[in-house]
Amino acid sequence: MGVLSAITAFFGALGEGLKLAYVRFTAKNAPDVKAAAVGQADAKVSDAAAEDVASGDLDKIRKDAAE
Amino acid sequence: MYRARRDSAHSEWALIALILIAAGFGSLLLSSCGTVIPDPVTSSAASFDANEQNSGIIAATPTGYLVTPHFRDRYNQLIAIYGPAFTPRLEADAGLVRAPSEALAKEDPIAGQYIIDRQHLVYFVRMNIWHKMGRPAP
Repeated sequence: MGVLSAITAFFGALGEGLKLAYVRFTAKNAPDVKAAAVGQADAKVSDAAAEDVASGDLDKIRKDAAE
Repeated sequence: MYRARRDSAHSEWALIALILIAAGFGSLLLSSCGTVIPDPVTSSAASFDANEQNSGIIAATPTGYLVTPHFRDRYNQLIAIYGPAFTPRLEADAGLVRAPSEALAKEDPIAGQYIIDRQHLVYFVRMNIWHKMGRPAP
């Protein structure tokens, strides 16, 4: 009986774990979450470009503008 | 005979337990996977524009940056690809004006130079990085 309840508990915990993993995985890969992640990367690009142009450092700006 | 059957049953249980443990670890790994975003691609040197290694940016001026006609062509080409990504949509020659004669580079006063304001130079840099990253048109 003790073995049976241990096995039941094990499968129950595994099932909950798999459900949680599925929820977290789908949440991280939802289209709006992905779009927000791309937007965050864009914001970094934009910040770096603005900082370089604001600095007036021609060397940096020319590297940013290189073909 | 009985012992052999019992050993076989044990090994099956061991295999099932291993598979379950692997599934448990797999689910942990799967749930910890984040969205992969590529890092911005940056150059470590300016590119040549005719015989000058200046990426088409000649000098800074009080109203922006003096740029070459080739820079303008690149800018407008990038706008053709990525213009709709901006709000409002970026149109050709946005932020560009023909340079007045007094602003032309003294050492190389070629005709057809332009001045791009700082805002649109930032837009150019953003589009240039997107282009180097292989980002598709919106």
